[in-house]
Amino acid sequence: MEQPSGVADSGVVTADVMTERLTRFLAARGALEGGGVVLGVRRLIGGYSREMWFFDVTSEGRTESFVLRMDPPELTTMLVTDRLQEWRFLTALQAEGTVRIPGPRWIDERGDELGRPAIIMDRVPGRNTLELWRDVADEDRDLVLWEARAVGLAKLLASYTRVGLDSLPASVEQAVSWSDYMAGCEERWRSIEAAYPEPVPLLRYIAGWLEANRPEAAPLSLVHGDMQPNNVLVDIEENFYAVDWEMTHVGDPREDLGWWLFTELSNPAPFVSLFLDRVCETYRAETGLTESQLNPDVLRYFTVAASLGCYEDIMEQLTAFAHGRTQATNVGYVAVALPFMHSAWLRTLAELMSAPDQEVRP
Amino acid sequence: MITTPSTSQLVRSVSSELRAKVLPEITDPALIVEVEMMLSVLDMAATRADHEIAWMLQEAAGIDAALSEAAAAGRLPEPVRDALDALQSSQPADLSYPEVQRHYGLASEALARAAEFAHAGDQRVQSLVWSLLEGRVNHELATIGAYVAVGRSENQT
Repeated sequence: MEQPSGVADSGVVTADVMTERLTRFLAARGALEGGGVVLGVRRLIGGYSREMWFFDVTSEGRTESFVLRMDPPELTTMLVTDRLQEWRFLTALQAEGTVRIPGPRWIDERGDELGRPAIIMDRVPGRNTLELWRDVADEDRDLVLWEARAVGLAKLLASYTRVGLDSLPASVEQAVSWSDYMAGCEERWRSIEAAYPEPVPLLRYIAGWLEANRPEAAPLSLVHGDMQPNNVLVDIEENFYAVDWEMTHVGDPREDLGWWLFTELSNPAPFVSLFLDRVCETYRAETGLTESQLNPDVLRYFTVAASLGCYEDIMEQLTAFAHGRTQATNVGYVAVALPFMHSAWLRTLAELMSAPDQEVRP
Repeated sequence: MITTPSTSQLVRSVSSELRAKVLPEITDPALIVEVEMMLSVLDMAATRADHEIAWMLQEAAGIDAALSEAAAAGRLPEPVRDALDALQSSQPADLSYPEVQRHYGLASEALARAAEFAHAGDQRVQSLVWSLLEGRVNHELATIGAYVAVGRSENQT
């Protein structure tokens, strides 16, 4: 594929160049009719996997705001995901209508026009929960409001379970049964370890532990796959929106809450942990899961189990780094994150193994 | 050869200068994140330079001793014993990184096989494996200090 002008060897694109590309791209799709102008193009930092840009289109006194999610240069990211698959998920979810998502608008499937494969979505007028948490000092925080937000989040996650699986793209893998799905995940843990350049005993331990301690089954459902505070926006009316659907799959619905709890171990806004019983109660009421299917200990199981998708990608990228196929800073940096992940899993397993009267224990 | 200042001192001085002099001059937010990631990697490399060889040898010896005892008590299945034999037949030819890493890899494989077996029900093996895994993760953690996810919005001010 010919590299569009303005792309340096490093893959760095300036805001001016991106403005020109977006103008051509949108004009070709009739989105700038009536004298529309692309304005305010700026790159967003924070995404570990995709290159994100914000921009506005102003036309006849009306302004719409958008987000561009673009593949990074090859082998320069921790997570390798597929824009076309994400697009298919987003459009399917939009058509299905159960889950509140930012509307998908356009795709540059092969990156011929925007430089690399990219999708453009409506920009949700909200702020993520970490930004909201930081608005006030700890002593001034309104915990009643945050309990309500924890409940709101539980309802958002519960809404995924109502998405009809037959409405998802045909390319989405769906296991025959919950047991098959869980067995497949355990096998993936083992495969990650087998593919890594050196033995990682903890992974083999975890694979066996997860297998030996499976919780009670729950119906398979849509799973966001990267449910963490950066990926949930709250608007002024306290509506919740999930963004970044690149890790979406069909799996165990409890994975999303589990992964959220995992990310709370390293962020300063642990409002789900603070109100975990209330979150569980709300989620059960919304989904019909029983207390033995969903309780704090089952969710601790999934803080480990749901790390799989992210971990699988980063180990693959570290392998590429170890073999000299990439020297990207953010890939090498994963080596700094791994000890934290390993320690968090070990602590979680220790808590579960020492807890009395649990549904999940060895 | 000159060993003073040490490798870790040299790396930390580079890290410190980058943090004090270069980072404040950068205005591109994406580049700031990249440099912060580089600094985290340098800090980790400094700690690893000080301890990594010793830790690999200590862990390998610990795995050898613990699994040998379990094997002698008849508590380990054949695949673990095979890996333990391979470890015990190995002696690093020198203290070069590749040689110690190779030896450590054999120890890791023995522990990994014991870890697979740990859920089979023998509490003493389970406890032994857990203790060895904890030691390993403690060393990993010591290389990073407090973890801050660089570049994530939770860590932006």
